[in-house]
Amino acid sequence: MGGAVQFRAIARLAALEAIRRPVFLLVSLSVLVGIVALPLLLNYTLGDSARMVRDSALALYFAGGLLLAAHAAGEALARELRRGTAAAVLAKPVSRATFFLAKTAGVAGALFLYSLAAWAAALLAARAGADDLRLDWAAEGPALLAVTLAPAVAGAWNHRTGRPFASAAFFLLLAFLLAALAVAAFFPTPLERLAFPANFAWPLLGVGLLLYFALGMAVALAAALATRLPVTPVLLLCAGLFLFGLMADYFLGPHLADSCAARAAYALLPNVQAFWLLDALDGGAHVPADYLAAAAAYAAAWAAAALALGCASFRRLEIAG
Amino acid sequence: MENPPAIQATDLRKTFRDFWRRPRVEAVRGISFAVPAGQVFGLLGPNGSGKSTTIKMILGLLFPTAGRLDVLGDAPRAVAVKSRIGYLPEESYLYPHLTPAETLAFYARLFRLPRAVARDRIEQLLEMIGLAHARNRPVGEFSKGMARRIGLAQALLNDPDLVILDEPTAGLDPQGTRQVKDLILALAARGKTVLLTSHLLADVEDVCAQVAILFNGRLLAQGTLDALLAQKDKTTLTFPTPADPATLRQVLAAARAALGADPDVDHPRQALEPFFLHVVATAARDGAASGAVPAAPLAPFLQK
Ligand SMILES: Nc1ncnc2c1ncn2[C@@H]1O[C@H](COP(=O)(O)OP(=O)(O)O)[C@@H](O)[C@H]1O
Ligand SMILES: [Mg+2]
Repeated sequence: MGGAVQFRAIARLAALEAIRRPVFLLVSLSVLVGIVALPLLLNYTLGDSARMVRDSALALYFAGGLLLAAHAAGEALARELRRGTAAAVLAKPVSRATFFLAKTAGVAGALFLYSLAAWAAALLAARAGADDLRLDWAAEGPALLAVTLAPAVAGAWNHRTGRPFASAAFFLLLAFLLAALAVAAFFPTPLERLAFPANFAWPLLGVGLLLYFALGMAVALAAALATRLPVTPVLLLCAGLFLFGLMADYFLGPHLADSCAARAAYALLPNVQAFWLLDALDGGAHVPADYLAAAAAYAAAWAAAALALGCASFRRLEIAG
Repeated sequence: MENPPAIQATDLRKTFRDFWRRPRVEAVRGISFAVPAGQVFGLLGPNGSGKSTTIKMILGLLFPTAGRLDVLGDAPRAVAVKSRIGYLPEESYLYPHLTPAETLAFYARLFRLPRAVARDRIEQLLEMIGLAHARNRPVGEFSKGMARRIGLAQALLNDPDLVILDEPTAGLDPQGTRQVKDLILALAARGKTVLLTSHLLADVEDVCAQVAILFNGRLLAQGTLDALLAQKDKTTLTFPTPADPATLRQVLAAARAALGADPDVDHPRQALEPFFLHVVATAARDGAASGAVPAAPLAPFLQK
């Protein structure tokens, strides 16, 4: 199908453009350095550091991801419209729907790469901080090396070739963190001498995936809003709505029985709580597959609705570029 | 039977509204024109007269407030018809991090050109616009003229039947301008329809068969250049300057006697453009060129 060729070309370029934006590197680097530094900050201080490292890492990942999702999706449309590239592309035999959906898919793809890096960092940090009184340097060392080395190598490469620094640094971060994961896998944990695969807290990935579903919803919402609004309001609305979605049970829960408005708001709001399963990790069990599937279905349906509205809005948008 | 026009606009209007839907600018105020198939049509007008707005309506990017618009026998918003159109936008429209080759490859995918065809055409077009040597530099670093050439290549990738050029010569040096004009004439000779806008009158005069003059959203005049510009009540006569001034006086006296009026006498002047091009070409032949490389007139795939 010809449409698929166009879709892939536009999505791929959108992902690259998102990753090349300095903001993307700034946010992802802050998040990744933050995650990797957690064991250094939290160990030796209070009890229960393992849990705090894990929860903080996922919270950092989600907050940074939300920011990136809203910003990247907003910019993907707003900047293209401003810069005139959207006009050039839509003057080709490309339908409005293909353009809009491919852009959104591209941003979701960029966010997936960010997620991979963040999950790797979270696995490493959770392992390094698993014990209250002892750092696991086999995990912490490679992780620290990865997040410091990547920007340095990217800088050197940029100096030599003049190619974009931001994207190079991001891709190196991802590659180095995955490499750090591989290195750490070779070493058993210091206390219980657990060897691979038992030396990592894999259930963390299930919760990470759930959070990625929520980020996908944020991308869809931000893209839909960006057909009509500039980047800043998109960012504020998106972040606000998702934070409110996280607290929906607390605010709306008591009123669900007697208020139609509360019920409607509860149904429409992104139910972020369903994706925020950090407590489930305490038992060390995996997130059940059918729960993952149900959450994915909910996220897909919610995102599809947002995208349908976005598509309809974009179809009627005038491209003044 | 004559061919149907490539573009037909009837009482076309466009009013820009602000965020609250209040009318703000009447950019196009009821214009009607037809761009005949296979001709070069110039839309002339000062800045802000509504040229780009009209073109964006033709491409379905903006929606007319009122009026009818037919493009290659279809509605402007039809997607399929775009594969027969090439468009050079007025301003920046390139992804700054892509190289020329990557940019063209991206657009080739949007046109769904088969891989081999795309590779072939991209090579030929890079050669044609004289940027083959800069193929691996990001276009964000390019000068305005170089970016313009890529825009031109991008508009021709699909070997379009209808070429729409918004200010094609803006930002180009004289050689570049000449090359674009030659290109337009070559395209027209191959039966393609070209619609271009400009406020550079000399450029329009050189290539357009028909023009429409737009001012403040209204059409002030339109027709073929011959019909608009020829002064049928005057005649120019050109002959070699006689060696003896007396001969000239004799000729003038005869003319005065026959016509009953004094003829104007002057030496015809060469236009600056051919003179400039000749001087530069001579210099370039003697020394190595450092700027844009003079390029082939028309990519082979466009000549078929
Ligand atoms: N997106 C827009 N919103 C509001 N006004 C616009 C917009 N685009 C163009 N205009 C106005 O429409 C008029 C015609 O603009 P344009 O078609 O770009 O002129 P030209 O291409 O002939 O220089 C100008 O007054 C311009 O300010
Ligand atoms: Mg204009």
